Amino acid sequence: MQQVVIIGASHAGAEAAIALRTQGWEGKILLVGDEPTLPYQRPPLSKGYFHQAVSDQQLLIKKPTLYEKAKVEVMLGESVTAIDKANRTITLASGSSLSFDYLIIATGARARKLSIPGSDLGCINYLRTLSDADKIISQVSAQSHLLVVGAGYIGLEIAASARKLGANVTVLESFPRVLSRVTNEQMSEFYQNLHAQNGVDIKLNSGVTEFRRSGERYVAVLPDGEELTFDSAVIGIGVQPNIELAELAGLVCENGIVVDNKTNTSAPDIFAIGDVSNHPNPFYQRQIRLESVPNAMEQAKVAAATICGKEKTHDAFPWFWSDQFDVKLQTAGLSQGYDSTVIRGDMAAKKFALFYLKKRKVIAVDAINSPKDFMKAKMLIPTGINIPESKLADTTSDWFE
Amino acid sequence: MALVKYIDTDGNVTEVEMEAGETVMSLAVNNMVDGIVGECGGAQACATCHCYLDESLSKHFSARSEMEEAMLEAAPERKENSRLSCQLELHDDLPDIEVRLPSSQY
Repeated sequence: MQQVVIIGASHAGAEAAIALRTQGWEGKILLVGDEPTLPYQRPPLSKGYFHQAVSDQQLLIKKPTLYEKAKVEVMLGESVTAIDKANRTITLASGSSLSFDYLIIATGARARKLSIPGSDLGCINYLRTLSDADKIISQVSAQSHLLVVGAGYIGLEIAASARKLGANVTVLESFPRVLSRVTNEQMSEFYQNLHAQNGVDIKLNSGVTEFRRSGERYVAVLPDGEELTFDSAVIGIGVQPNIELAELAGLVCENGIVVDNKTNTSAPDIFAIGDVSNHPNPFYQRQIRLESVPNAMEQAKVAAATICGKEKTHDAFPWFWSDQFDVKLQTAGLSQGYDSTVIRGDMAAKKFALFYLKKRKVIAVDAINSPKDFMKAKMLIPTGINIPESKLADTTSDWFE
Repeated sequence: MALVKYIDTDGNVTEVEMEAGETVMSLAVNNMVDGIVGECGGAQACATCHCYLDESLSKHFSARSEMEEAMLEAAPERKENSRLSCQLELHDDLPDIEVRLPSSQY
């Protein structure tokens, strides 16, 4: 019997396993993951799960019984140490090996580590897994002081969730503004104000040079010499794709595992999907790597279809969301390379859309509590839209009519 | 336990036994029902679990929130009885429920 092996019991991995079955794969399906838990949703770890609105059962992407129904063999707590593409086998840390006819790599990404004196103290955390989240949450309580290093989405979501639990929060950011890699200055200012209004202390142009213990608590030394006392810290300074297995196996890698629009890697019958894949995007006409659940799900379906001999191409438009305090951000598209922006709506009322344009073409939108603008933009931007800036800004009529 | 009947645009029906604590979206995802995607896992961020719920059944569920209303407003194939199925929570006291699915989610 033919066998598909999926490395990574992740969002992408779980989706691929089930999609293979629904698309008609009749052979064996093996899903191998190094964590002890069935595949779960990571986005709520910094949001609903953190402030206890979502339980661990609700985190599961698929219920345990579905894997049985779909005859997916799940191997948890198993890490893969090597891929042998010539002999079509993978080696597990336990020493055994598995053969495959098709291999899907869904190894995701891991948190980038900070390497400074004291960064190995037990109070210094990174958020990627459920066990990371449980450890962080156990160290946060009302009146405790949480230090967040890095004002990206993860850092800011954690800050917002910790405030909901009543903790004091300080965020240290090395750039002059928050979310500097993904938004423009106005949006950064909006989030800085939002966090300030909710009692988060954000220090820009800052950072940390050293952590050390101070009695029952800890101290962070800032670049200007200031010392800040805290109880626990989370570092959110980005991720790096888990490409080592693929690289060792000789697959082409460059900021992720390079794949085509069918999720094929450079090796026959080996696919890569989700955060680890560097894939072509037809709208932006370049290779991109996304840290995104919708992208992982879409690529999973494409890989499954391709293995089942069906025609399916990955051309989904990137989108993201972030919940912080009473603000829901929905982003459609990638704003890199924009040459102008337009605000539609009222920033002070926390209800507006920020359009990013390049050569008068709309390339992305950040929608704040404006789901309708987001939905329309997600549908229309990929078709190529040139809309006068005055029309985008005019809230007396719809911009998409 | 009562059933949820998922009806696609061709009239094909998939019946799934309800489970308390699930939503109409998660029940579909956990039973390989085509036509409900649920990309965001129930965060009301994607509208890929759009369904139509007969008006006579709407009294069994909580009303649309402002966020759900706004998401649906721009969803493809919006109708009067559109709902996000991630917001339709299942519990023990429900009768059989029928939902129809839009063609855009296949």
